[in-house]
Amino acid sequence: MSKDLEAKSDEELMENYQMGNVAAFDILFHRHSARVQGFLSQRMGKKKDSHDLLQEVFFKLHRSKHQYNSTLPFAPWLFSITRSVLLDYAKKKNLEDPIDAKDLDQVSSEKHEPIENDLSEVLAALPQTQRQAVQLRVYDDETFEEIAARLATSPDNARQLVSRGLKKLREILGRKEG
Amino acid sequence: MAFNNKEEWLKEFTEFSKFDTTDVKVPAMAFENLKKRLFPNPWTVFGKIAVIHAVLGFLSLAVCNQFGLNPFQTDQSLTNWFMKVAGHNFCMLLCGTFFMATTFVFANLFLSLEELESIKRYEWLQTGIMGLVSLAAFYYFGAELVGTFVALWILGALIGGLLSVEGSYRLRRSFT
Repeated sequence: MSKDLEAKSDEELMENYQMGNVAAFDILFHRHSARVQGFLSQRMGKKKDSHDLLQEVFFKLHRSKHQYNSTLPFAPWLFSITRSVLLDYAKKKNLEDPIDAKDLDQVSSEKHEPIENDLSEVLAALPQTQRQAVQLRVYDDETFEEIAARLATSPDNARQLVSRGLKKLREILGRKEG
Repeated sequence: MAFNNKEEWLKEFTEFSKFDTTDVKVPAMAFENLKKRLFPNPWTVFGKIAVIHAVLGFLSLAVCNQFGLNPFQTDQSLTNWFMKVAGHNFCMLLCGTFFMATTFVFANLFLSLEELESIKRYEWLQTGIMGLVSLAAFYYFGAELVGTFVALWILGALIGGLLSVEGSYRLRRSFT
């Protein structure tokens, strides 16, 4: 890799890459791959998949290189690509947890009317992050990976947040019924 | 899934840009695989194009006889029309253009965008070699190749090849 290129900013490298300089792409990859890889691993928890997604991010960068405006900063653009790849992956996976699905069924069938009436009141009793996690799972039907991406946490933690939130909701609703 | 507000976006972006990469190991294989996918070997791509060209070029003789070669014994051909409309010289030019352009337009169906990019990187070389190999094949199958006509045909093939490579690539990119 030439030293001239290495001294260039990300934006200049992208401009070079748009003009067909492949070495500029190599430098961009080496400069940012660790950040992208780390960010993806943190969100996904699975190392092998994150390696595949890392390639996907730079593949997408390559395919949309002609859309990049070099007068704008490169980092937010790369972040948008990384995030969109992550969300596509989460949607594709659409992981379902049978225990949580059962919980959802219980809550929505047994307590259907009271929930609709008292929903905001009941949800307000949950801590903010737990409430957001439950809302994303129940209302938006999002996967744990999507929730994790949204709440800047790991999928395991998102699963735990939803599970604990639902447990707490059941307790509150149980008390109300009693 | 969109961000609810700018703060959310900013929070996550800050986390992304300040990510501590000290312990992150990117496997060399990831880069190598990516490079193979993004920049396929030009010879492999040339091989694929050569096969597509051999099949399509042969089939195209049914609608446009080149140098009098008419393996399908068709009565009417684009060649006759080119001859009527533009005369013999232009006919040769248009025949070359048609013969080469069909290959690269149809290549869209079989090649990836990256493979098309690879052709584009060496478009003069790919089109030129393909044109010369085609002429050699015509000669082998009994075509009578005459100097001026051959030059015009090659010129047409280069024009057809370059335009169709560019057109195919742009068309494909706009749908990807």
